Amino acid sequence: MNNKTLVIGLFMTGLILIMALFGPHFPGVDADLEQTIVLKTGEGKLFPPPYEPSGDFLIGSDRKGVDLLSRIVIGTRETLLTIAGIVLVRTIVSLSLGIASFYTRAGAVLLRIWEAVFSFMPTIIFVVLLLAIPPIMFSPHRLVLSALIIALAETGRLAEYIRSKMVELSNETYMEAAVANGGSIPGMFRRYYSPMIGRELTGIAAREAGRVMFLLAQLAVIGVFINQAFMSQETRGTFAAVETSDAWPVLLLDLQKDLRVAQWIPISAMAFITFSIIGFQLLADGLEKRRADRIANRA
Amino acid sequence: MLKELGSAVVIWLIAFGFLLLIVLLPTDVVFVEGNVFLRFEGVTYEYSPEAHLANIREFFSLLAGHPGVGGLDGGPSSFEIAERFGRSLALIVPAALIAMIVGMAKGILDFLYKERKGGAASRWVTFGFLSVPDIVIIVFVQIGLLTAISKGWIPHIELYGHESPAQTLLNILFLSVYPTVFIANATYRTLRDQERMDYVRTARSKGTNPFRVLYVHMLKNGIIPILAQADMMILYILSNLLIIEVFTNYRGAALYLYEALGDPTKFSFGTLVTGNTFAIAGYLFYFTLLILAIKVISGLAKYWLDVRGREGIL
Repeated sequence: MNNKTLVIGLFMTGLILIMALFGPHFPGVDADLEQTIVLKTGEGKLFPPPYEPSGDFLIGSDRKGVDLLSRIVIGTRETLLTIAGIVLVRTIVSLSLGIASFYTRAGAVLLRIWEAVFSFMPTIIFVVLLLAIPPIMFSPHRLVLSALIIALAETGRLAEYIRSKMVELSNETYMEAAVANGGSIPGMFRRYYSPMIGRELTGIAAREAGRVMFLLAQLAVIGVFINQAFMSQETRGTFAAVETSDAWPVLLLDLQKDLRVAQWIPISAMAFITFSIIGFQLLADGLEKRRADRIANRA
Repeated sequence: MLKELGSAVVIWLIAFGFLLLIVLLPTDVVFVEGNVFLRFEGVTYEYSPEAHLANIREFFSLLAGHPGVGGLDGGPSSFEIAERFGRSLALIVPAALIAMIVGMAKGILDFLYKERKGGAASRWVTFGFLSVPDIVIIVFVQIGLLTAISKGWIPHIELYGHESPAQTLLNILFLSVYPTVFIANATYRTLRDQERMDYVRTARSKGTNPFRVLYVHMLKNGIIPILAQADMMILYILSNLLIIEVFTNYRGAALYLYEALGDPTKFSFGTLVTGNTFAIAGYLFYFTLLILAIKVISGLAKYWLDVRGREGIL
């Protein structure tokens, strides 16, 4: 198999998966995420966190004095679960919408309107707009709701892709033959369309995972996180959202400040985020190439 | 053609109406107090269609009552909104032009040199910039500049704000990176698909000048799928604009829109800083209008550039 893209993609996503599954047991990873409140130097001076990369903290510590590498490794699982949830919802809704639009007129009209309306809404602006609505902002199910909003914001594009793949298949000569031989709609769906969609699914999931990670990073930069809780502040009656998660995008909070004081925090977070996006992209491209090669070999 | 443009306008109205409905959602929430004084337990919210309708009525009656001026509740007037949008346009228009011109040029060069080492390397650059979130690029450029300034290699420039030409130029650069590689990728893929066409093979076998084949047969036929990507491109530009304006504190319409929505991360008990609906609606109006303008321009270009369009077949 001469498909370097796929091999590298599998390797990169594999590494992230291993980090998510076995990260807490890695040597040198502090699974309890212990906070070091002050650090003493040789001369007895005290230092507050965040700490620079050193022997104790390989890539530095976060603002609370937690070892950054441990935090990132532990946060992998949460990051991946969030992405997986969003991708799952987006794929299910897009599949239903795409298939419905291929078979029914109502579905086709719905998809056209959906796509047309969403083509006037930049994804991030749409997400920020919806998350600012009080019932969503204060909802106890905010996590689920915001994941749902992010999932639906790009459903039209994916549904259209699935529909176009089905149309492409229906134009093949052997499909015409199948129709001429009296293939029923459910039978044809079972024998031709659903296997084709099945083969596409892994690639779709990988590509969407990359896109979602990209979007979550962008949202984090402007202070929009999908899991937050409100905590009481020093002034009575005022509350501020506090990040309650170890997911990677959270490390981009206070990015402007960190760029001057603690550059290692955003750099490490971005390195892991970018690594995972490139891994997902390469995986998707590699899978696409493998399908193309197989079709070429058959011909 | 008129029919197509008309339908674009109708869809714009539907989309803007939909956004307006979201913006005008009733925001009255009841704060639930816990056992301890001022302890936040959550909010209850009940959607009522009547309140929503009342909001919509109020919005339009105020709009009719203050045509063109606005400035209600200490919010910006429509002149200010337009001025701020103009500041955003100063970033969007150059970025979009760079993306179309440089992006297409890069796509064509990548295609011409696709068998060479340089071409492959250049396509990896495209892949890299498509995968790396633009904020990563911005952060590295800023770290580089901050270091250079602190070491005295370059004179001090303010990285945050909108007053100096340096900030505007930097932001145009940041904003144009992603759309440029996006268009480059689309151009390259289109040309690669065109190459398999029979008419291209025929033209080449007749010994036609390769550049003539590229221009007449491949680019003129491929321009439609490339222009179709321009609609997507503007969406990416606007999404990234919000990130860039908020992050670099460039006071354009996207940053003001973000601020007008009200800070979602802070509130005081019992009071809720709700967004200024007039301002939000105003900024959204301009942004969606810009998307419509791009759709119209790319639609017109399609007819003008494509032979089938000029001859009325399309």
